[in-house]
Amino acid sequence: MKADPHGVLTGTHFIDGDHACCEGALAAGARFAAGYPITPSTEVVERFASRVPTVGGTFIQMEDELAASIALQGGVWGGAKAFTVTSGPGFSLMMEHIGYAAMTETPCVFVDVQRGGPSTGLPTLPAQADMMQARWGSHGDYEIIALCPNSPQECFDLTIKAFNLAEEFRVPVMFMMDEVVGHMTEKVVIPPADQIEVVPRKHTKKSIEDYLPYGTNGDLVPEMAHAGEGYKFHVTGLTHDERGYPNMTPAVQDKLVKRLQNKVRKAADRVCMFEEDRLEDADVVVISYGITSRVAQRAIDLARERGLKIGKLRLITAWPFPDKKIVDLASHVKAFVVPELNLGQMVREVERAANGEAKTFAVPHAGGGVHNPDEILKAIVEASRC
Amino acid sequence: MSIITSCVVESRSGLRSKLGDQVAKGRVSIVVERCKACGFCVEFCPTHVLALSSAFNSKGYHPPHVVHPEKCSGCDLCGMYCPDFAIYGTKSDAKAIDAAKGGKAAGGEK
Amino acid sequence: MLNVLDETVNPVEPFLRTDRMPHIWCPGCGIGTTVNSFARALIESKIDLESLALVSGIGCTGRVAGYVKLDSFHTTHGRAIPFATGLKLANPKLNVVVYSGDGDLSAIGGNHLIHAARRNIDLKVICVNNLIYAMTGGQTAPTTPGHATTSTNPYGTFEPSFNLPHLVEAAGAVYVARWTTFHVRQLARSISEAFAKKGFSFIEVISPCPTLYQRRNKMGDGLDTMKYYKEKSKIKNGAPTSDVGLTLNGEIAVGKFVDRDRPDYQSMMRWQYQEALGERYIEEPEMECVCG
Repeated sequence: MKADPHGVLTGTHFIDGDHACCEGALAAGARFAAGYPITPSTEVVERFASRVPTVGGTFIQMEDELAASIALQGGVWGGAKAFTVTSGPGFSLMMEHIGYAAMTETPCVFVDVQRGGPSTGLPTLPAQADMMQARWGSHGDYEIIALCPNSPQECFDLTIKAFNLAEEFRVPVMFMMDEVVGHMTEKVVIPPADQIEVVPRKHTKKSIEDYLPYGTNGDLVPEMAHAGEGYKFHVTGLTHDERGYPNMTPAVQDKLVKRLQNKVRKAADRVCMFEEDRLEDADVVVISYGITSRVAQRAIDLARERGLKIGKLRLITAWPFPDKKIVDLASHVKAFVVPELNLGQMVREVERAANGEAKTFAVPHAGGGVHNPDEILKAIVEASRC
Repeated sequence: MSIITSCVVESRSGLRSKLGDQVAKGRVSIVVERCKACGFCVEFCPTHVLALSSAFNSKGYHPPHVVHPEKCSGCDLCGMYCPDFAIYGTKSDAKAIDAAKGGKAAGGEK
Repeated sequence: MLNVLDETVNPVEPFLRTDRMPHIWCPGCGIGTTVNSFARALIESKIDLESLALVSGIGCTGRVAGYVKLDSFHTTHGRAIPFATGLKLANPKLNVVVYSGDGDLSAIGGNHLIHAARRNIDLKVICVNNLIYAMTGGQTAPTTPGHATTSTNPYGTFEPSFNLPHLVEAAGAVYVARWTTFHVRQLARSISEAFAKKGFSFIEVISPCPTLYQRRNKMGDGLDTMKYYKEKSKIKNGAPTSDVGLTLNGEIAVGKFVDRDRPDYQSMMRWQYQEALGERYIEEPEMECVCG
């Protein structure tokens, strides 16, 4: 389906990642956002607040992130595509409702423009230390999808992708920006609306009598209805059966939670996106994401100038983690080098997936700035010698 | 909807008492299996039509039963008070009242 | 329930998910009684059930959402009001009711309660106040009057309790009433009045919790409590809300305390955007996304 032209600001722009993300949301069809100010994410909703009254939608600044993270879900069940934006401390507050979205299968997008932590940390400086939290932050077993843009252009393009994945899988999608990508200003090209693919809501076509809110036709993702259409359905965060009724037994729990997990995991091949370069004959592969991938690119180029065979794998989808790709690479490379703006998060996933078939070298950074390419180069050289 | 279920109305008062002199303007229907014997209906019926019976439902509660059917006005206060949706009153139509007055009771208490 | 003998139907029956009866509420609990009044109000007000949504939080009263045959949302603890706000903003044609308990709405949900009242979001809030956290076993709530015994104040509470009508009036609610589960007809009428009003309406219903609050405080069972409500309630329509606080065994002031008019959130929003943007403002946005 093509994008609604009302929300598409076609043209060539010179804007930062936060602003590009807002335009991506509008292009994807988002017409409702509930937010709460937090540096460095606030500009996303500030722009949304100024754009949306003339595009046709509503923004409300709620009293806290707890309210914002569930108001947007009320908006979804009322019929809109909706999202919120935040950073670390707000992301922590939103965790219960991310779990609620996963449990009730509410399609929506949570944007986290990561900053230094823990706690209040470094409000205006970057980090990538919420990556594990994006996956495991709420209690219980559930599955989300997380995307990592590395430029304002990707903040536009991948936000549309985030909404599309949310609708396709009926999951909350975590859009993991970082403060540098959010606040860097670059050229962003927004194409005409008819060149933008948008996934519509998976709305039921069943009659009121036949509709089962959480029944699936074998494809693991149930069809949705909206409030006010006469379906008179029930949605609850309690463990529920296909009617949506609370049914708190081990059997129903097993069936429900495994389906929530499988609907994303079984589609991992389709969902996982990455950028790769010269992996075929690589000795060492540098795995990175977000702003770190741009610094890593410089380090990779320097290493190649020295004649080292270095491959690049940039994670665009961080969750589900591309296990298969790592397993495949581990069978023919010596080592992985994983620079991140944290003290070791995604590197654990690489190590797990590599399962000893290749060595893993972390290049941690406590946050507050980006790596110096030499730090990453040093690790690459060390990895090449192992 | 199946009409023979464990939640079927099993008890409905007639329009005449056993003594047959007064004809009620309403009748009570009781869903025995939903009752938890809280006693609200018995207490707040303005004409004291009900009392808790000595029978048990399958959960072990004593549901109410009608002791003065002729006094029921069909006001449905029992229905409004019942937290378990287990009882309600309805006003009888003129035909049924006439029939009852004519000596033909429209049904006795079960 | 359909009376197979003469086809009469309990007026509340069409509003219930009968496949889930009997419900889990205790003998003598008043929540079910409030649902009867709610159903009567819906009938009286001729509310279109297809455009009615009911949102609840967590707790015994929160379970109402699962028992009514409506578009119903059982959300997280304390957050029914912001969820309801999102629902209403995305689809202004919906009539949105928030049906939740005193702990859910005034403790964890307190912040959302006061902001929604401040904003005058068009929501009808029915707060069943059993003066305790019932579902979790009888802990102190902000509404527990002193010096009651609860599981977290085993030696008696000593905190002042919230006067909810006063709180929501101060925050900006346009309709504030309190009844008890004894006042079934007045409660139904208040709910109908709230439906006829635009803006933030708050109706508090004092209800027994015989299993926990009444039992631990040796106040008898549900029926004893209903008799207490009958005896000790005083109808004081229009009373200043500062005067209607509750005490352990004292008088319960009931009635309609506040009924005033001020523009609701969406009216104010539209006016503001109209002023600022004129023709560029899209006043009736098509918020419903394209479905496939």
